[in-house]
Amino acid sequence: MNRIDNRIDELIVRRLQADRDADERSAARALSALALRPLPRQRHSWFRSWPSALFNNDFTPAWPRIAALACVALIGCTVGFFGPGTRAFQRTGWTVSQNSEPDVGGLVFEPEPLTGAKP
Amino acid sequence: MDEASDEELMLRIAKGDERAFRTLAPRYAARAIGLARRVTGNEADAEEIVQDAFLRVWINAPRWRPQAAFRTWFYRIVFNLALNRRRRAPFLPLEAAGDPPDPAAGASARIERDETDHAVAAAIAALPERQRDAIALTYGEELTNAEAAMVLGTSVAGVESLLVRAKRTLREKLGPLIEES
Repeated sequence: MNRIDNRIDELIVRRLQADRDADERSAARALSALALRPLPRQRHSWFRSWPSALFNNDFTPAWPRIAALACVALIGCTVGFFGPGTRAFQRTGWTVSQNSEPDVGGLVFEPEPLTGAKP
Repeated sequence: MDEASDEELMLRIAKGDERAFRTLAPRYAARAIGLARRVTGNEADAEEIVQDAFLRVWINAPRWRPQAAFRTWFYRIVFNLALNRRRRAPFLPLEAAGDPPDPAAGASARIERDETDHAVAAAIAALPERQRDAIALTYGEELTNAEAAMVLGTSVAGVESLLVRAKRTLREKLGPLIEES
């Protein structure tokens, strides 16, 4: 049985690889046809190519502007975290007129003493 | 450039290097045509399929990831295109069949001259399509079972099963002929 199996294997390989010359000729034809036409545009993955797309289209912001934006953001953060009205600011001893606690009385508007007009 | 591996060439092709593409294509053109011809049974179709497959390689090269070998990836493209053509083939009009194959190839003449080869060809052609594809990939293209499984989109065990069944059928058909000789 092994002899037959081996022989069958040989015959299959011989049969399937018998047309190599014809395949070579067909390949030469296919490659020459491929060489005649211009290659199409390649398809790029948007996820990987978006930075280069920005560069190509000149949408990239200039670095001085990025630096200016970063400075303004830093100032904003500094004022937000440590500026007037924050606990860090109060620790410095400066006083700011504000209602530090919920005070309903602060929401009552009294009439103007001279004219009697209400706000 | 000629000594560069397939994967190195693909990385260059992904950056739009046309020369790398022209270096890589001849390495696989003949074998890809052999595979496409065995799946479709038509040499003219096989040429078109391989051209189409190479164009797809070029177009999609930037998306290629070197996780699988280029050979397996490329054979999968060729095989899928050939399958599509085989499914469509019975419904094509005669004009769409393309040019007749080069008579100089003489494949059929050689087969007719050799009775054994003719019997083998007939036996392989009579196999169910999936079994014939498995035989073409492993014997014709010398892919490993794992690579053939990736191309066929099945498991290694699935390929082994296809091969066992194919060889059993071939043994039944060709056994008496071999014993006679």
